Amino acid sequence: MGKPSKNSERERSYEARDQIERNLKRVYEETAEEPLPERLAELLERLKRQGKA
Amino acid sequence: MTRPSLEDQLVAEVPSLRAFARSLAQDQATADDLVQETILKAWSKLESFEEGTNLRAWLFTILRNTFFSMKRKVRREVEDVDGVHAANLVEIPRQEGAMELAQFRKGLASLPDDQREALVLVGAAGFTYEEAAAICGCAVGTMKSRINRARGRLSSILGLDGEAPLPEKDVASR
Repeated sequence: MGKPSKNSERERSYEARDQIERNLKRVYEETAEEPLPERLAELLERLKRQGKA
Repeated sequence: MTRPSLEDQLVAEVPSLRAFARSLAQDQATADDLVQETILKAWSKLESFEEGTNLRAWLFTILRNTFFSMKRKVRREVEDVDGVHAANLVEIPRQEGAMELAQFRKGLASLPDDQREALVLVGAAGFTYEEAAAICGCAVGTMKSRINRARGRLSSILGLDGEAPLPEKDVASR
């Protein structure tokens, strides 16, 4: 078996990069889509009621 | 059409701030502490915020600065001292691909803070290299190199580089 060609190495590196980006977005979006915890929702409500600082 | 107020814009960014905070702090309670601190700081400074500049980048900057100063203060590495971190990572797969995602989370968590935040800011939060560099207070070239190193490291950890994935003890010790 010879050494992998530069093209196949490049292809693998692009695939790895795609997979990393996909998973990164999934992990990030999963958290961003969670409902806000009560304490943060309450804090925002309180601040909105108070109006501008 | 009226523009949303700064307060409304801030509120709309909270979910993204939570996602960024989680990638930095990793455990949920600390991440939400960070978001809470960020909201309070930002809200109290909203009047001095210059409209027309990037509110989102400003909020992310406050959050990451809060994280690093909190970390300096506590001087505690995000290592698995109390098992909280591991408890968050070892999730029971809930859907197809969940196992792969759990592996990915573990790999991401093992990256150094500066590489992880660079990768998340550009790869997930959608900032440009220039914006991410401004948020982290570094040069654009430094940001690019952190991202490249993060990708390379994750590729090795997850075995995406054609080699076998690194054993977990090696990942943990990095």
